[in-house]
Amino acid sequence: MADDSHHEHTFESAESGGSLTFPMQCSALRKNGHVVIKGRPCKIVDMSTSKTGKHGHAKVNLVALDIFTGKKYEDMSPSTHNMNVPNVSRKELQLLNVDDGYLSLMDTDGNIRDDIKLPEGEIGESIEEQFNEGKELIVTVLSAMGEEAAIAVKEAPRS
Amino acid sequence: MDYSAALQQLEAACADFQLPEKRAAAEQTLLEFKRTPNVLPACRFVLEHSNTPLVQFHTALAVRESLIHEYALLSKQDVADVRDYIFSLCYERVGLERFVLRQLMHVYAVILKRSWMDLEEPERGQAFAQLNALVQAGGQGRTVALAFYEAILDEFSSTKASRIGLTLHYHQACKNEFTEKYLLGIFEAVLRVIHQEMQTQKINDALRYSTLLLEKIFSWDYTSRGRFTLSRDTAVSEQEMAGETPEFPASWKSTLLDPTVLSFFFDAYDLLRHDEAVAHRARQCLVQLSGIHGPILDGDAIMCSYATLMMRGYDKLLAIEPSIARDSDAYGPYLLGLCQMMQRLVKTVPTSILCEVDGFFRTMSDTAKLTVQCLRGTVAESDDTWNMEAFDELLDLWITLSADSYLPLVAQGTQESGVVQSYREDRIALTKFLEGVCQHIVDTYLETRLEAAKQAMEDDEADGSGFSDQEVFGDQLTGIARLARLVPQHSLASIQRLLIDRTTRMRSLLTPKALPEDQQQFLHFLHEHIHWLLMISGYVLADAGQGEHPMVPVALLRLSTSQAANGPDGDQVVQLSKAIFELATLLARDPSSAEAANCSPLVAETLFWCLERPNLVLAFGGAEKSGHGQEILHTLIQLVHQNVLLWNADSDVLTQIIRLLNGFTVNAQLRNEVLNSFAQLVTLLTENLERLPETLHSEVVRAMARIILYSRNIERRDIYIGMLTNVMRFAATVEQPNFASIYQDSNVVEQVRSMIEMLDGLAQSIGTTSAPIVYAFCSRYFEPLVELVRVYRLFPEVITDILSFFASLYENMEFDRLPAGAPAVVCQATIALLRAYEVANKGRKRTVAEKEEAEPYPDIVNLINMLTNLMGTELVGFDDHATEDNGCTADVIEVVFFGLGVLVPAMDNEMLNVGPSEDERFISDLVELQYDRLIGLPTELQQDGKGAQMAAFATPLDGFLQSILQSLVFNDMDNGLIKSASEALYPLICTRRAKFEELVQSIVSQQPTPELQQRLLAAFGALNDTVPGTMPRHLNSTIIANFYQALTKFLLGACGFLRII
Repeated sequence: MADDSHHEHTFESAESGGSLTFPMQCSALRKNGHVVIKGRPCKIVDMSTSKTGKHGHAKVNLVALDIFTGKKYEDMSPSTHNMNVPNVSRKELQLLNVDDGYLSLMDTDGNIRDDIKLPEGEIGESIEEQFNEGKELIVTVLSAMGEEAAIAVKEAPRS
Repeated sequence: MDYSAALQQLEAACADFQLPEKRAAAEQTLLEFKRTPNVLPACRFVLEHSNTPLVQFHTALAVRESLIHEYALLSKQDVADVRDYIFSLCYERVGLERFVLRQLMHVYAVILKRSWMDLEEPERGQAFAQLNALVQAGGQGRTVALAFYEAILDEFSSTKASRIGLTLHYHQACKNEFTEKYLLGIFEAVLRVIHQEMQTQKINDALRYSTLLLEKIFSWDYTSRGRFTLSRDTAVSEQEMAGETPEFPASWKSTLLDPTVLSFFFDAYDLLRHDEAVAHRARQCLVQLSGIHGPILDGDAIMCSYATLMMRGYDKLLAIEPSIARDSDAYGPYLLGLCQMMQRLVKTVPTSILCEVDGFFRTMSDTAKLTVQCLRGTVAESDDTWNMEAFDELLDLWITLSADSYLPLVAQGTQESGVVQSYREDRIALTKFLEGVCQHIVDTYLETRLEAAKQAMEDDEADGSGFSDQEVFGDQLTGIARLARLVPQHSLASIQRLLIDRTTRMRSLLTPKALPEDQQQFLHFLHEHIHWLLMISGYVLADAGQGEHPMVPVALLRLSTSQAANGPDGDQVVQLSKAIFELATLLARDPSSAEAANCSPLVAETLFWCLERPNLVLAFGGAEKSGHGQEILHTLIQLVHQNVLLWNADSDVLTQIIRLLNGFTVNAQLRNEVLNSFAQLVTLLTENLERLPETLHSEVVRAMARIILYSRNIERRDIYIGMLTNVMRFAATVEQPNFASIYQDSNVVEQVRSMIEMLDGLAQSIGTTSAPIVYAFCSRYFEPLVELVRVYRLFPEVITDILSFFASLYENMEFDRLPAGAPAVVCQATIALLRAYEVANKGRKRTVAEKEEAEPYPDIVNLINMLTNLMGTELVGFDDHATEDNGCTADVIEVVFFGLGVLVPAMDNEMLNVGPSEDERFISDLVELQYDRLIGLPTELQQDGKGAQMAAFATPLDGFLQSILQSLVFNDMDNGLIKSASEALYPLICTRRAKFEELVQSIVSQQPTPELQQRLLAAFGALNDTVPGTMPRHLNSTIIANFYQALTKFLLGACGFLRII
């Protein structure tokens, strides 16, 4: 699922099961997994190890993208150190309406939310355009570290 | 045709050629000119009247093209006229540019070769006589004639011939006849030229051409095996040729092995070496000359006199060594060349004959000095590679010489031939001599490698080659180890002394206090020294290689046995092993301690590499005999335990540790012993799996599972399996009541992924006996896994892991060992999995970024792998061992076709551009599968729906058959491909026989003569006979192997006249 989007959005509160982040040893991070760099939740797009000198200890080099803004971050850390990993959750919600720059969404239990902004850029345009065509749409909403945003859209499967 | 207009056009086009905007048009004009019918007279006119080099060059090309295409239309006299015309043009016209001249000479050679078979013997001889006369005359004509020879040699060689639109057979025939009748004459002419020109003591063009020709003659392929690596554009590299030594025919004996000729080469080198380009060629000739073999060297006496002369030559070369400055550019190539020559001679001439050579030991003792000098040279200057390369050559020489010294001597008095009898004494002397040399070399090697540590530390920053020292120096270390084992007592003592010394120093540095700057530096040297000492020890103590009972090196075994009486303390092999263990124990520090920071991961890696050397543990023969085997294993497991803790974040060290664990699985006895001390390690590894680097998860589990599952003790095995189940925490994770609300939490996702990776590792560990156990273990998770695909539909990485598990399972599972119901369960589970994947994948859009990743579309790749592996299982019945009618084949095929239904919509065009290897395998498997479907259809069913399906396959199958046949018959063939081609071709011929016969007819009808047609028809007939009229029920490997043989035979027979080059 696409994690990158080109907008920024912050909410005071976001639904979250437990803590916002948890620690993990650097070497155990995975490519395409998540990590916190400079206080931002990021998705790791490239991971490599290097050594300073022939007998040096391993270091992990990370290249990661902010999952909400798409901004690129880089970080390097000894492989035995811990880094924070954000708790990221994804939800698929049915789109009911687009109104004044906000989305009106409904989850499977029938709860309605209308506090999520219509994203700017390509995805936002795509949502508006398809919605205006009268298509039934499913929007993927990503939340992590108190932020929430729509990051993808697809047509609801006909069943 | 208006010749002067054509000339003007060409002049204009060649001028335009330099202008980018007019280049295309100019190219078109040139192309059209070359394609004009009957263009030869125009060419002559242009060549005579134009003074523009580029115009002359293109016109020469036009002559070649026209001659090749219109050869059949020209009379023999016409062709001879063109050839004579070009000859006189080259000879008489002054001021031609060098590249034009070369092109014209090339055209001359092409014409000669194209008309070769139409020329009478005297006519061919006349062409060479004409050139020879020019060579004899001297002056400018001599250089021209030598250049002609060069062009002719290229054209008639098996490596640089150009495409002239004739069969391979033609090329071979020309080359063979040229080699037999004319090459020796050219060689003699060239030698005479060198001899005459040397009188002037100056290096001129004639000498340059002559050495070039000599080099070509020495790298000529004298065999008639007809191997052609054709054409100027794909000429084989010089390096490739450099590895081969020439096999001269007997007819060359009187010329080449003449003592004056042999020593003449060395005399000539003495003059030629002052010009580096010429010197290089001259050296290459001497290197080739040092390795001649074949019928020319028939008999020991001939070989002995040849070796003697060569050896005297080397003495001369050795003698000039002090006169060449070590730092001059000429020194390195000279040194390497000389070492290569000696290495080749020793490799070619049997040691028994070398020992007969007068002064052999004297030359060899000079060589030994040179060897040591090379070694010292490697550390004198850091970026010097000549010394290292030269040393490698000499190392090879010593290994060859010492090969016999490892063999036991034949008892005196037994029946031996004269040579062997005298060699017996020589061998004793040789062995004694070599022992002295080896001691010296091994000691210097140790010394220089440790000295080089300093350089290695300085170069460090720039080190980016990405190759480990084992990869770079592996061959060298193997060689040194062989020499070291010739003097085991001495070598082991040296290594042990150094290792103990460095261990003691290391101990003093491993303190909790932070080290001052200078000691830090010292610590780094120490790491590097220990790294090298461990590598050398590893190579000396054990040979690389896999197998249940690796051989303990004979020399060490002998030493160990002879020292056994002194007890373990007197056994050097045991002592060195002990020293390694002591070092290992010293370095296994607590990860939380301060001194852990002073340990080197590379040393840890090398240490485990050393311990992993096949059966190093068992090689400690003394230890095993004294009953300490179990104790050592226990210590080893302890070491693994401590190092996993210490290096849990370093994938290189961990990978090496896993290799060590894998080594335990090879030997049954070892495996069982390991299990005694294994519990703690299993707990440690499984509980910390998440902390280890991602890429190693499944490997760790695989290594453990392999040891555990092979346990003969069922009770203990079940305990371990229970432990695995516990650490999987499947129930604790997935089956907890609030899973639905927490499944997205990143740590839960991590746990789930680790779990699946463990299953994957388990699936990879499947072997013959463990198949039922693993199946029983894994099949419990089939349903939950499918459920997980549904739950994690938004998490492609989880889905990818699950697909990867199934792919591994099908790849390794031995279905014929499973209970009867298993295949049905597998089919069901796969269908369910595919359905779930289909749902999860619906509407999914892939981002651009995904396509650019290093391994794009992992889910699709894994899905393809899974289906391919499923097709490869015994269930489908391609395998020999498949039961005749297990009733499952149909089911599995249904599953695969269902999978295709899921796969194809999930793929887009972009994806076809990636993962070609998987795709190819998948497609070739599919062909087999279709075959199976097709033969499954009784003829009367052809009318119904399935028959129509088969008809749908007909066109692509026909196309496939045609393209395979075309590539096999007409294109350059790669032997590696014939095997897979035969696998595809057999079923295709079987099912599409009508099309096959049609193709054969069309190929046969293209042949010009009835004779060739007949021959080809017979060859195709023989091939056809191996494919039965009725299709076999199963395609097994015997059928394919038979067909493969027939196909190879067919290709060997047919390609000579079918392939046009």
